[in-house]
Amino acid sequence: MNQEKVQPNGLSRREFLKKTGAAGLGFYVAGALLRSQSAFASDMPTDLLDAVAKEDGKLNIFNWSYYIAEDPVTDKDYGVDLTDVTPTIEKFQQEFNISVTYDTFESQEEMLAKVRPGGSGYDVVVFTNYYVPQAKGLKLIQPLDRSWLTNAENLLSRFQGPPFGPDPEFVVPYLWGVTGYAYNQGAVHGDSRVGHWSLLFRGNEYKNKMTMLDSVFIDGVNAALAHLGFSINERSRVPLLAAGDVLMEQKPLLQAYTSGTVRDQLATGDVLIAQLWTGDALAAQQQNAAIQFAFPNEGSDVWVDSMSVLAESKRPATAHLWMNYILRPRVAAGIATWVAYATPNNAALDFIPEAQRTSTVIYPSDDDLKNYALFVLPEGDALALRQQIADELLG
Amino acid sequence: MRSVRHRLGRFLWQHPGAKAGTALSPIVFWIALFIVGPLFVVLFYSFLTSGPFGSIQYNPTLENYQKTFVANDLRTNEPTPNWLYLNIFGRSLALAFVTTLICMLLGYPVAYWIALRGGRYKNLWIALFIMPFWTSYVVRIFAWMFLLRDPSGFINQLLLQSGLIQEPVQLLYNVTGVLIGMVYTYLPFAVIPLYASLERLDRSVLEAASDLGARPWQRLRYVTLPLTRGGIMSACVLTFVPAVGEYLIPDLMGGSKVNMIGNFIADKFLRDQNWTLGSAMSVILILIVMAILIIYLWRGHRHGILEGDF
Amino acid sequence: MAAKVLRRSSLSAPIRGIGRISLPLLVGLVTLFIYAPILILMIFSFNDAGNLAWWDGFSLKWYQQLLAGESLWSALQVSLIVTSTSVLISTVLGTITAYALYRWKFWGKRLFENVLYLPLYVPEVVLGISLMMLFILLKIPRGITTMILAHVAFTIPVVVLVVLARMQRVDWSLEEAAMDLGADELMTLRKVTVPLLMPGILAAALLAFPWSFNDFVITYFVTGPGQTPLSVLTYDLVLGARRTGAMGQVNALGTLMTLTTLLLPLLGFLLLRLRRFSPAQFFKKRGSLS
Repeated sequence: MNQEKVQPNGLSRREFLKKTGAAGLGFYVAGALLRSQSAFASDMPTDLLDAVAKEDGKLNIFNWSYYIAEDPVTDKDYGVDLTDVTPTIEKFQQEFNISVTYDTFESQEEMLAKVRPGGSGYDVVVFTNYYVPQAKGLKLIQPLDRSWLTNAENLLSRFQGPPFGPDPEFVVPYLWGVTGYAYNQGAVHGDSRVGHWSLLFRGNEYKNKMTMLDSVFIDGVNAALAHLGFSINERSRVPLLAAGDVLMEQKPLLQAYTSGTVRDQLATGDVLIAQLWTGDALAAQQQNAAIQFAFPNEGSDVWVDSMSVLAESKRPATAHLWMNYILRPRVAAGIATWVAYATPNNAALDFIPEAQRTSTVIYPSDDDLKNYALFVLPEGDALALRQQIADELLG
Repeated sequence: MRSVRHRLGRFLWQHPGAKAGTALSPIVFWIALFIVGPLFVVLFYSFLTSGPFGSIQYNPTLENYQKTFVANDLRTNEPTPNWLYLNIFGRSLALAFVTTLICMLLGYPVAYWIALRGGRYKNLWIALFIMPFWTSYVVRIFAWMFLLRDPSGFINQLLLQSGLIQEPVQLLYNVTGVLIGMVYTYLPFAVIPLYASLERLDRSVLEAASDLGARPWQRLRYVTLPLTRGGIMSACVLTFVPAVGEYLIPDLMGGSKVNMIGNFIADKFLRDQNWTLGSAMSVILILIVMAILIIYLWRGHRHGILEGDF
Repeated sequence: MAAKVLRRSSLSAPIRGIGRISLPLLVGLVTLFIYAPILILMIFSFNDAGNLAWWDGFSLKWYQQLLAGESLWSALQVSLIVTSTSVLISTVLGTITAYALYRWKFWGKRLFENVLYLPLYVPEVVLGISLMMLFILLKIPRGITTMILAHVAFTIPVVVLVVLARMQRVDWSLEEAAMDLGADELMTLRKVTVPLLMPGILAAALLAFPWSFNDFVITYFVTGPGQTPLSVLTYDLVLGARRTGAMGQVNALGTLMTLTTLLLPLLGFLLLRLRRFSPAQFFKKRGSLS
């Protein structure tokens, strides 16, 4: 069923969950016992636990949908047994006796509007790297207390600072991936443009069978800049205008600008080439084995989704507790395995199933990423120009 | 106790102003706070300045209105009329108009048939007709998207396999897709008031027209249509007005390729985090829709915008 | 009686030939248009493949998965709380408003009426964002309360319109008759006016209910932590369907919602039949007014 690529057997996780309902209760009891011995809590600083005890024992989290281990990660389904740390939220609640409210969003833009100061009610929010400066600028998020984040040492150094680390003062990397495109192997077989953006921008023979992501002002402009040989972080006017022209020429070739509905259409063959993120392409692959993912040679962006604490949050300690919990190697591995995106947690890699760890789509080689960079959302004129290009394109 | 109530009633009866005031005070409060309130916030923000990252700066300005109508050209960077905003506004009005027209052309015969030929079960008929619209709007849009896809969609498969077409037709992510979605969504808004006024139609007038030798189309043209003018007007307003500001259908069924003013404004708020410009554009949108309504309803259509019964 | 005779003569006789076939044909096609997506959805909710594209065999697994998940039940709970509370409030407030607008003249009535209908003119997305902006400005924490406030705001005009429409068909002399017979204002209101308006009030509530229950765009902007209503959950399920199962669950959810709402029009049908009852008869049965 789900995750066929990485879990060759047939039983879906939910069926499994049902069959092992009684065992689940067993886990719960075991969890309670462990908690009483605070065997796990040793990695949490005592002053953090003290501070948590002074808060109200609740935590409100706002994250992308389908972005946390929602079911147990079992040996049977995934080839690794991470049932001690999955489902993530349940295990966290059991260990620390915190009541977690977990909500999801579909786009960063909608989320940004909803968490503006003034009673959104959330404590921990996941921002994609290029919105972190904006979140700081709007004073949405508060600086982190690094002394509470003892497990941060597990992170790969490249996500702690350059090249891929977003502001460590304010955020903790959660999962990462790459924007590239998914294509139908059967339909574009032998096309020499595979692995280049030109397939999407000049693929006239795939007219009406291609889609681009709907956040055109970021992903569309980035792809066009890379296609033209510029850096995705190019801010001068002339290259940006050229990118706008390329996008305008591409528009008649496209079926739609979409992100949410495209996975299914890739699977049915309605869409043959789609600008997409790594994990989503893998999800489409589970339904249709012909779907492959391309890392365009000309470059694109590596993005890092990271956790941060809202400035308004009245539970900063509990929020830190959650983040330090997520940084535990097995916990991070459980999430990455279920979601099928890459974890920035070095120590977690040991617990990730072989099929995922060796997948070049989830964990691309350094060579694949040599032209890739973090996208930094510009301010001022360059941003206005990107927005105007998107307006002209969609308007 | 009773006499107090009686006296209070007497007082209110004799002082209609006080009576209206007493009865209306909670609702005036509510409406003031949660209907006028948010729109006042929009109006207020439209005169403020957007700072870096979309922060709000409390400097009064008219810049947002200026930007709504005058934009710097992408190439020359010279100020020009904001054709983009005007174009997309025009497209929204046009799409809403076509939607209204199709809804009337489909809705009127249906309402006519139910009202005049539904027999004993016409109430059940109308209920069954409206029932699908009581299921989730989002789910219905997605169901349509699956039906309309090419080539895997049900409709294309049906047409292809029956040999009616050789090549799949594109029904989604274009104007056709958006119109199908909008007509589907707004059809009940047309059918309900049309049915209400047709149902109230005095049948003896129709009878008289026939007796006097009117052909069916003449009867329709000179009797039925004029007599149900109120219902037609209500149906047009109830279809057109919400259709102008549609957001989800162009976004999903139009694949962002046939965006409407609702999407454009939402982009200002969400994508650009420019709440002040988005507010100014909303104010203009509301004013224009209201102006259209006032002109349309000018001629003596008294009671609100909906005439009819349910 | 008279209507029956007329129906036969004026309604079946005049339209002949093509006209006779084309009208029912058109009605049939429109009905097909309306039911097509729902029927497909219902059929494919039993599809093992969990999509609407190809058929993999009959299965009930999506229903099992959907009903086993907690999110559905909590979303349904949120939706029901929000919708029933807001429909109750807006029905009461809307009826009072309609009565005031219809029966009384007061200063600023024209303006009041126009302002009242604003939620119908204002694009949903603007109304949603502006309500969110208002709550942010007033620092009201987003949650069930803000959802109810928002839903009351956009269902009030619907209630007013429906009740006003009903008022145009009410015999108001009954109210005066009651007064003449010595009933005071409140008694008249309770014993005459409200019963007279009841079918309209119920119809208004019946219309406002799905209006509120299915609203997605406005609701989306005023939800708070842990209070996702069903309409927003559906959207998340479909758009976030990175997992294969989600679409199958959405089909199952859509089917269940359709079947549930089938009960509502039946209720409406009964209520509309109620309209036939005569308030004058009602009066007689209840005896004297004192």
